[in-house]
Amino acid sequence: MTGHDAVFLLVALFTGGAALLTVTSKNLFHAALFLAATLAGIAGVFLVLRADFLALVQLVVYVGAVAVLFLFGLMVTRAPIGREALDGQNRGLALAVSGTLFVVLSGLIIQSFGGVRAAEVTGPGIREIGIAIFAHWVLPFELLSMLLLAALIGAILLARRESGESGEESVERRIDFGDEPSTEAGAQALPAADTAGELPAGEPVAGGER
Amino acid sequence: MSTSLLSAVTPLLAQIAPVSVEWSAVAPELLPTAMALVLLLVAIARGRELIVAVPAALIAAAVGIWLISMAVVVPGAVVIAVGFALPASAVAFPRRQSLIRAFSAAAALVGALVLTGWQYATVLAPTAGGMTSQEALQGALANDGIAFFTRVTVYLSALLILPIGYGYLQERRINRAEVEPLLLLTVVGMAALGTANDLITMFVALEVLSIALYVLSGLARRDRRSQEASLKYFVLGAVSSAILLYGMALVYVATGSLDLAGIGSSIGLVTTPRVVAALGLALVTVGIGFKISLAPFHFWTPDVYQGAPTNITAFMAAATKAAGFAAVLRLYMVAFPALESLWVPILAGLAAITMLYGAIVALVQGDLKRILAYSAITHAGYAIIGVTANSDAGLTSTLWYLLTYAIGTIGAFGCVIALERRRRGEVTLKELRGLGRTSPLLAGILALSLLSLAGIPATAGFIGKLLVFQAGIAAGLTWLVIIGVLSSVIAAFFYLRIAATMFLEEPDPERGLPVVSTGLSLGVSVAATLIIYLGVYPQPFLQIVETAAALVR
Repeated sequence: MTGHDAVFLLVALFTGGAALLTVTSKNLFHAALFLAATLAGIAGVFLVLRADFLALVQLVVYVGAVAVLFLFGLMVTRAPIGREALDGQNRGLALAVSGTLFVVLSGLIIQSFGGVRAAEVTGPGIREIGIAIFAHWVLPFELLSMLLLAALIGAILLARRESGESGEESVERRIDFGDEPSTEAGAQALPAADTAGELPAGEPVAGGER
Repeated sequence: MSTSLLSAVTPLLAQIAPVSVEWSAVAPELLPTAMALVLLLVAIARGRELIVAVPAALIAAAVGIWLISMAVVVPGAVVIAVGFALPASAVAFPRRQSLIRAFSAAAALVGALVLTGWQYATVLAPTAGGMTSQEALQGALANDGIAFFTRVTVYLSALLILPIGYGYLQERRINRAEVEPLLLLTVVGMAALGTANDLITMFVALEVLSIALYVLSGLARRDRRSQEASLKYFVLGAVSSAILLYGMALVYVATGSLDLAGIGSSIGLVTTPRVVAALGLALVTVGIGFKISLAPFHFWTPDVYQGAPTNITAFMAAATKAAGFAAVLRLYMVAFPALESLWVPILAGLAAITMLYGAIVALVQGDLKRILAYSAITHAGYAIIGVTANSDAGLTSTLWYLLTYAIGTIGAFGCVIALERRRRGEVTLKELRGLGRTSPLLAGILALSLLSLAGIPATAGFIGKLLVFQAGIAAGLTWLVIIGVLSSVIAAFFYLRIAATMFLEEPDPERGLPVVSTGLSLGVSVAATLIIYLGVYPQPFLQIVETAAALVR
């Protein structure tokens, strides 16, 4: 066992342990923190395997953004944070599914690549990756920017409050969320703030516009 | 500092510079993309649309003139025309921002359709002999029969949905400024999925259209069912995307190649680990089965179709299916033909379950939107027969089937919108009683659309079904075709029951008349005309269809 193997084993054990704690933790907030640790551990695995760019991306995107987003989401949405937050109804099923997946995948990998002795890998440098993205993969790259644009518009559309929308919603709920009333009367009561004189008053579609 | 940065960047740019971008290959998509961005700016301008519209038109005019001077006349003219549609509609409808948006988006879609035709005439079929295929952007994009038909179907669906849904969105007060840009982005994602020729482009395009549709189906934020639809679609869609991505990763592991032609050539080799490839194929099938709602993976479809705003449902049912099937056709016929012995029985089994399940469950539904949702599931089953045939005839018949299905389903949902607008809430069979007496034209168009979906002769749906079944029999899948015919008979029963309710039963005097606006009547009339035209005189289009099997392989 070389030093390289030892480091790999340590990192892998750390990652596996953190992953185990993520699913067994009773506290949702702790689980999210352990998830961040797991993702950081995976970045470590990438580093040991000499994929430094991948490790960097893993750190920035997953640990830096996704895990923090999880924590933010927990805090902002008033999700139940505490001991009783997690229920264990489907524990057995989840264990069975993930166990089967683990056995199948590791079996597959060992069967397909177990005998192959990998050559010493020196992954492509960041420079080559950059050139590949902007030369060979330029179409998916540009499509990704449209994906982000669509997600951004969608987030604005779903998150921004706007009076004068239709749909049935109970009065209690409306008050609970502190929205403006959704009736047409409510829309007409706020013409200045909402329609900004875009449509002549009295036209029934005025509230839906901005 | 800045000069040193520049000197560091210059050699990198030199390495990228030789990359050729075939603009003609993506020309139809560029127009809706640009219009989506401009419409977002218009939404910000709030009432002073001309501030955005005039510069946009000037830029479009400059680009158009430059294109014409480069001897690319048709795209240049299209760009100028679409560019001037925005200020023209802003002048024509002052202070009616939603109308301006709808007209500009429609202009962009018409422009995209014209450019698709131009592409067909200049690139795909320069001679009358047949269709060629074009590979563009370093193989990321394939411009061929699948791409052409997906573009036509998707752009046409969006173009029909814009006027049909306009009044509906206004009345429900959900006609927000983001709707048209999101719709355009969805359309671009669908067209990109139709042209995607490697796994990464395919996945990203699928996500572009999915994300925009998740949001659009939750447009009515105050409506619980719409929220439920959006959330359900999002969660299940995300899971299915993950499964699909897992499968794609396994396929890449097995073959070491991401572009479909490369996968196709190396997947059958002895050196390729067959088990990994098969598992990848299975996961891809499950993931894409969710997206096109094949039977065991369909359970999100009825709830989402029922809860989403009806015009979005119509668009989803028509266009998403076309785009999803484009990916299916490309994956199975270009990338996985070597594993044919594995996936043909699986897909045939799925098709059989889908056709029977959708038709039988639709029988016991009372809500019209739910009936049409189950009908959409059933039609996915018919279309997959063409894929299982794994032949040129199967490919072309599936493409044709999707086009006719899209037109029929938009016609049907358009009429549902008219019925929904007289009374909020769901449209049940009871609501339809005697509609043939009170508003015969609307009832006639709804009946025509349903007959086309049922596959009655002299409608567009008949020829589609005939071609698909022919391809199935030619490929030796007679048992599957028999199940398809059986399912068609069951389906015809519930389509005809709707027609009978409308024409044979007495009208209920308490019910008001359906609300038919100009846009809606325009949209459904065009759909009805297309149904009859493609059913009675399809020869010119069938000639195009027959040559559409030229694939980038």
